[in-house]
Formats: sequence, C-alpha cells, structure tokens
Amino acid sequence: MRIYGLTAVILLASSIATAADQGAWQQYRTKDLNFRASFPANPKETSSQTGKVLVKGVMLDLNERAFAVLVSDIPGARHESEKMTESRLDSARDSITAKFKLEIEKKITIAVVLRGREILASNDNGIFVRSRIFLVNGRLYQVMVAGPRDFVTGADAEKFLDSFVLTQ
Amino acid sequence: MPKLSLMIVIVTATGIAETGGGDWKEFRSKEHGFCVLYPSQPKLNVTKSGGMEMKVFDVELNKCVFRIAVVDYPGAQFEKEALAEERLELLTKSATAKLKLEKATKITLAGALLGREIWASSDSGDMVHARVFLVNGRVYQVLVSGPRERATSAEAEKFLDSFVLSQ
Repeated sequence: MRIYGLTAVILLASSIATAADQGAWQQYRTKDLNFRASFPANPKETSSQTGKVLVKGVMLDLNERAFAVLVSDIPGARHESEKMTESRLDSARDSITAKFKLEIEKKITIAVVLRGREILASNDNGIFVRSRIFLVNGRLYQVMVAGPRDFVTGADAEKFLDSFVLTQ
Repeated sequence: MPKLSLMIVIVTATGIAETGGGDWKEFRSKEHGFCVLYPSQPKLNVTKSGGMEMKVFDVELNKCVFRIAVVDYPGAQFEKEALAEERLELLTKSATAKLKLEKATKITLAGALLGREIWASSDSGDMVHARVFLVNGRVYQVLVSGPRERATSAEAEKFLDSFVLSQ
C-alpha cells in the first residue's frame, strides 16, 4: 500500500507564517471538495502533488496558529476492506509522526460509521499538530490545527475541528 | 442481502397534518451523525421492520413532511461497489413500490459515497422527492413528501440540500 504523504501537514506546522487579518468566524464551503468548516478568518485555497496523489484544500495561517482542511483522493482505494481502511488510517498517522512525536491517538468517526483518527503530536520546537483524519470511501480528509499546545487543545481549535462536516 | 423496506417511510409520509409557519433551524444529531435544516423541531419515531430498526426524524408543515430516516444494515459495512449499487437499486424499488417512479439519478455525498435521488408520485397527486445515501452499511434517507408543488418547492430543495454528515 502506498503511503500518501501528509507533506502539507508538516509544512503547515513548520512554517506558521505571518499573521493574516483576523475577523469574525466564517463558514467556508466547497462544493468541489464536499466539506464545510468554520474558520476564524478567510482561508486560502491550496493544492500540491505528493507522488501520484493530488492534495487540495484550504489553509489559514495566523500568528503562531494555523488551521487547515486537506483532501486527497487515493487511487484504487474505494470500497476497501475494514483491514485496509484501518491500515490507510495508520499510514496517515505515521506520515505525521515521522517528524512529530505522537502524544495522543484515538479512534473517531464521522456519520458514526466512517472511521477516522484524532492525533496530537509535537516536535522539539514546541509546535503541536492536532489532526482529525477521516477516510471516506477512498477519499482522505485531514482537518488540522498547528501551533502551541494551549492553542491546539483550546476552544478555537475545538470549534474549528468540530465544525467540519461532509456535504453533498 | 436483507430486503429493504423503506415503504414504511414513504407510506407514512403521505398522511400529514398542517402545523403552521416554519422557523428554519439547524438540527444536529450527534448520535446519528448528521446535521440538517428543518423548518421546526423534528419528532423522532423508531420503527422496526424485518428485524431492523429505523430512526425517523419528521417535521410536518403545510401538508408536507420533511424527513430523515436512518437504518443500519448489519454486515453491510465495507461492501464492494457492485453490492452497494445493488443495495441502492433495491432501496429505490422498495421505496417506490406503491408509487410511480418518475425519475431516479445517481448522486454522491462527500464526493465518494454512493446515493440516489428519486422523484415518485402517488395516484392521489402527492409526490416524494428523496435522496438516499449509502454510508458504510448505514442508509440515510432524506425526503420531502406532499403535494407536488410543495415537494418540488424551494423549501423542499433547501431541506434536501442542507443535509450533511457530522462528527
């Protein structure tokens, strides 16, 4: 099984950039990628190629805090077995923990029956990544925040992560 | 594969009371993993058919029913695509068994989950506009039922479009 990269996660966590203007929370909806989430300011669309996998999504970099939703369709991964689904979720976790130390991992779901993982990981620079990863019939959604521990475990991060839903 | 009888949903969606004006609100069921806009607070009914339990969330308004129905099919998780398609075909046939199927199209949810959009009518002139999604062994049925002009109205579309899968 190929390990599809979460390069963007690492980039997100290592280059938390210049502050953007922060306004009221707003809902971002994409028909193309079939999700909706609330951000504290307007996110920017992003797209990158990792091997054969195109990773698309949106990111918001604020001062020492970042929010992102990334989506990738995994070729040939639709209608897979339970074992393979779990294995792909493990791979997604491993691609984060290749450069970050895993602190907490738990199994989660969306729509009760679609499987996922919630991960909290950190690096030596004190940057934390908290990510919810959902595998939806061959499509991988990564909903994540990065920054200091008190941010990624705080109310804003929770609000953002909880706001993520899958749309038609 | 268990025979699906969503007829109950369709049949019961035709006898309707009038309840007055609507105040659209987001309804979120953490237990059932969905979120939708209803014109008022829905009522939950639980029905059993063929050993399976169906959770039905209804709002009745102006001779129209706005409904979400959720059923889990044991053993239907991680099915192959062909079986999932077959299940959806059976669902469509079952749901429209006592109605005239006007149109059925393939749709998706989250870009990857299979579904059907169905328009069907009864002899009395009522109509059902439904979207059925198969989500890893769980079936979500989102429908509006009532007089044709109401079941095809902007309000009906608003309800159907607002359905999302949540954590």
